[in-house]
Order: sequence, then C-alpha cells, then structure tokens
Amino acid sequence: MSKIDEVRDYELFIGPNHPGIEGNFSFKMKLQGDKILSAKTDAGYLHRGFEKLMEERLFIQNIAIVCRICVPDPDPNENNYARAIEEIAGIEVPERAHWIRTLVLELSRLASHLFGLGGHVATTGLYAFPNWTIADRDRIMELFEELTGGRVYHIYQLPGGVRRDFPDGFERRVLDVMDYIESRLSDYDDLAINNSLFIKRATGIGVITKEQAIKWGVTGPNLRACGVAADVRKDDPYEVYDKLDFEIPTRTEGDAYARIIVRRKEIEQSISIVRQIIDKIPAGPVWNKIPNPLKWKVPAGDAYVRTESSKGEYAYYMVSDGGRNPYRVHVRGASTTHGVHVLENLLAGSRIEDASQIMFSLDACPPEVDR
Amino acid sequence: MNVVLWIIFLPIILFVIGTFMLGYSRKFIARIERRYGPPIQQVFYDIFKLMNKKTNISHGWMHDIAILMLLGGTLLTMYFVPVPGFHFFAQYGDMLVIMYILLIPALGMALGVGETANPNGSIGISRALMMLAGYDIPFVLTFIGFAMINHTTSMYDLMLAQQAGGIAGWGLISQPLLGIAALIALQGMLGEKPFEVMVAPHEIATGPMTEMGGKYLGIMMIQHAIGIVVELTIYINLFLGGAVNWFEYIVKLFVLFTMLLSVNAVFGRFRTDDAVRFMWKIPLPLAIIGILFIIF
Repeated sequence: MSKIDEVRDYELFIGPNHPGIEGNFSFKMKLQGDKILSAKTDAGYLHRGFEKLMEERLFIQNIAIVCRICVPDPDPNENNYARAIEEIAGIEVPERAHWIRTLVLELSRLASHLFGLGGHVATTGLYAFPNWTIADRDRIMELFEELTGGRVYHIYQLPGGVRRDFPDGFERRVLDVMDYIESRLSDYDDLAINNSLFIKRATGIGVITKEQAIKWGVTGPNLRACGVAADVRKDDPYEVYDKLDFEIPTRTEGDAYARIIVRRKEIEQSISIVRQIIDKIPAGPVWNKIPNPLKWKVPAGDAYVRTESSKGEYAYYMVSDGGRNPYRVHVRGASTTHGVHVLENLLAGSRIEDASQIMFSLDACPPEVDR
Repeated sequence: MNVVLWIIFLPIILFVIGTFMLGYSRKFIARIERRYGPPIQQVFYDIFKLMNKKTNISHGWMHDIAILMLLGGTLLTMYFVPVPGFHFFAQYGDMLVIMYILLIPALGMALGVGETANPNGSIGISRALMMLAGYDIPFVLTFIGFAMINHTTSMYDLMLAQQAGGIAGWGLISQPLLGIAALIALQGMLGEKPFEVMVAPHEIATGPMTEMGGKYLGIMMIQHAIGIVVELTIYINLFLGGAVNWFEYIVKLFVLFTMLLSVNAVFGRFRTDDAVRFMWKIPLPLAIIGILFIIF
C-alpha cells in the first residue's frame, strides 16, 4: 500500500445505533473516499444463545423462545418447532389447525414484507413510505392480538395444532384488513415503487447473479429476484400450501430493485392465499391434546423440517434423546447467509451511499444471526 | 423603527419565525406520513433543552469558534437581506455581498465539524461543499440575469422594481426560467430532499450533526431556523416581489416553504454525485437559457 493510500483509506463503523443499520448489528467498512474496499460484519449484540437455551428447557417452554429468533416474522419458527416435535412424536394435527397455521404464516409474511419494504425505501430518505407501511402493518398486528393475545410474538402454534380457534367474526375482519391492504398497494407504487428517484437509487445496486445466489446459499425473495423460482411452499409443501393456488413472483436482475419488486408482488400473493384460506377453511377441532407438557418425554428421534419465511428458507433440525428437553435444536435461517456472507460480498466494491440500502434490501434478521 | 432596535430585535424575530417554520415542517410532513406529529412549538423546547445542557466534551477552541462562525455568518447575511421595514444594511451590501457571506456558515461548519474528526461529519461536510458547487452556480446566474434587466445588483432595488410592476412584475412571472432554476437551487440550498445529501441519516448518521450535542447542537438548530428564513427571504425578494408588510412576508414565507416541503416529503435523496449532476443538468441550463433570452 502506498503512502497516499494509507492516508486516503479509512475505516467507518456502522453500529447498532446508526440509523442505517437493520436491528442490533454492526459492520466495519474500509473505505477509499466513497468507495467501500471491504466490509466485515460483526454480530453478537443480541446473543441470547437460543439454541443452547432450548436444550435446558422443556419442549413446551421453548415455544416462547423460538419466536424471538426472528422478530418481524416469528411464526415460521413456531411452525418449524411444532412440526419437528410432531414428526418425532408422531402427533396428528387436526385439519382445521393446518389451515389456521397457514393463515398465521401468511399474515406474518405480509406483516414482515410491509416492515421490510418500508425499511428498504427509508434507506433512500423517503420516510413517508415506512410510516405508511408500518401503520398498515399495525392492522395485521391487531388481528394477531385478537387471535393470539400477542402483537409481535404469538406463541400460538403448539405441537398438536394451535392454541385456540378464531374468535367470533374474525374471518370477516381478516378479509377487511386484506381489502384495506390491497387498496393501499397502488399508493405504495405511486409513492415509492414507481418513484423515479427510488428506481434510480435501487437499480443496479447490490447485484447478485443467479450463479452467485446458488453458490452462496441465497434463498427466499433474494433468490427469486435472481430468476430462480424456488419456494419451499411449492417445492416441499407443508401445512395446506398444496391445496392453495398461488404464484411465485420472480425477477432476473438480482439487484435491490428486483428484490423489492419480488416482495411487493408477494404481498399480492399472500393476500390471495389468505382469502382462499378464509374461503375454504373446514370446521373442526384445532388441537389434539398432548400429554402433560411439564412431564412430557418426547420419544427419541430426529426431524428436519423447513418453511418458507419472508426472509427465505427456514429450517429446524431437532434431535430428541427421549427426555423432557430437546437434545439439540439447530436453526438454519436465511439471515445468517444473507446478513453476513452475502452482505460482506456485496458491500465490497459498492459505495457508502448504498451500504444501508444493500443491507435492507437483503431483509436479514440480526437476532437470527445471534441465535 | 430605530436601526439599533432593528439590529437587536431582528435576529429574535426571525428566530421565532424560523423556529415556528421548523415546527410547522415537522407537523406538515407528519401529516403526509399519516402521523400526528409533535406540537408546533417542539423545536423551541428542543433548543431550550439543548442550550441548558452542560457541555462536558469540547473538541478544542477552533471547534467552538467555528460553531459561532456558523451562527455569525447567518446573522450577518440576515442583516443584508431586506425585510419589511428594515433595509438599512441593504444599501451597504448588494447581492454580491450576500452571495459571498452566505458561504461563511458553510465554512464555519466545515471547520467545526472537521475538528471533531468524526468521519461521518467529515463526509457530510464534503457533501455539503460539493452540493454548494451544484446549487450556487445556477442561483448566482439567475441573480445575474435580474441584475442585467434592472441594471442594479442591489436586492432592495430589485425588490422595488418588481413591486412597481405588480404581480406581473414578479421575477417568477416575468422570468419564469430564472425563477424555476432558482427554486430548484433553493431546494438544494435548504438541504431539503431530494438534495438532503449532507445529513443522510441512513448513510452517514446525520453527518455534521453526528458529533454535536448540547449547546453546539442548540446553536446549530438556531442557525438552521434563522438560515431557513434568510434563504427563503432571498428568493421572495428576488422572485416573488418581496413584501411590503409583515403579514404578506410571513404568508409568502409559509407558502413557499410548504411548496418545498411537499417535494421533500415525497422524494428520497439523490446520491451526492447525482444531486450535483441534476443541478448542472436542469437548473443550470434553465438559468443559462433564461439569461440568453434576456441578452437577445
């Protein structure tokens, strides 16, 4: 390195209280002027040792832990955890519970996408948009509160089904919220998605090629934005996704704009899925009783289950040794891949103006990195 | 009113107006964002709180002086810009002087923030100076155009010349190309989106303000409040016929500010180079064409 480079290069720390960071996370960048030479992510601000903690708790207690692995989209964690236990213990789930779980997963995806879209656009300075989307997301939070008692963490999907059935008139209110969010989509497009300045800022930024995406293990909307129509809901259907009609939106550009377009189109698909569920959901019980959870010993065995979360593919590998606690629960989340490895690769060579946008466009979830 | 009284009270009056305008801007933008927004007097509370904070960290005497230079430069500009009832200093300094001393706050900020050695602040300052190169040239050209028409560089005389022609005599009506060019440049001068590259919270954590706290931040907020009024007043005097009384003046201030805020609320920010490029692609050619119309 020449003397001039030594003076010209500098380090910039973007930490957990920087407005441009997504959650409790940080990365250090080495810069030359506006150009990022290299970036190193630094997780650990939220480390609560979820995986290890689960080994010390009863199976039933962990339901309150797993949802905290991804705050904006907690339900895929609950779903994976419940399904893994059901597979090991051979528990049957009532048909209606499968439909309710699918509804909850799609509402969670919607809420997470509204949050993610808002966060992404905010990185370019258009703050009206996140205020709109987050206020609209609140309508979904109200539905969750009514159904589960919790707005953010729901602790609702138990082994054997779900904790309780719909309250009176809940289906009508779900449809009303879907109608409302659908009516807002054109406003979203006018304000942000079709905003010429936003398009200019997001196009060609943080480009991932199809080959890179497959090589790096990219999943979810980030992968679909590279032209790969991969989705666990279609490829390995769970709950009742095989009974529902929906499309997998894709783009081929692989840049930040393609990623936001894919998420924006997925909102439409989720609204359609929710309507189909409300239309087709059968009557019946919602939970098959499990043994006393405080004394319950899940038979020895292991299970690998996966869901398609708003962040990408979420998988749980659970091992039971026949005791009251899981022997091992390993979480394969999308955010460790996207928020650490992919982010570091994309930041190198980009510009400081785009660093935050690249991070938010990947829609990673820092607590999952720290699991 | 006595000149001495004007000198004493003008900063206070413009500070009060500017602070209410900032409060209004927060409320206005909040409503577009579908929020309730803070009370309109919130900026007063913020400044009062900041000015009463104990200063524990100093970045040296140069930093302290530079912050005062920032405020002093704005106050000095304020005295040279005619407002209804007071144009005493306008006869001693024309637009050239105003354009010159308008640079002092930017230099003061550059010195003060440079002393803090915070990279976010330094990047913010370099962006601010780059933006200066973007909006200053079209703005100066529009002024040159008006000076050519009216054969004077005095802002007060330019204002009187417009008032003599009624609304049709306003710079924005008689020379629309120059008026539009200056309006875009004014958006950049105020640092409103899409030209908000100096602060850019998601990129450089509010830039120059990152390392500022307590009284330093309080002084910056006071300067910002007065600076907004001064810059809007320059535009009103050059393109909207000035104002003959305070009611007209305040109405024009708020109408103009609301227009700029409306753009600010529904756009993100440019990248720095794109912001400067935009200034040189749109307002600069507009100003040049406007001048060519005047010449030929």
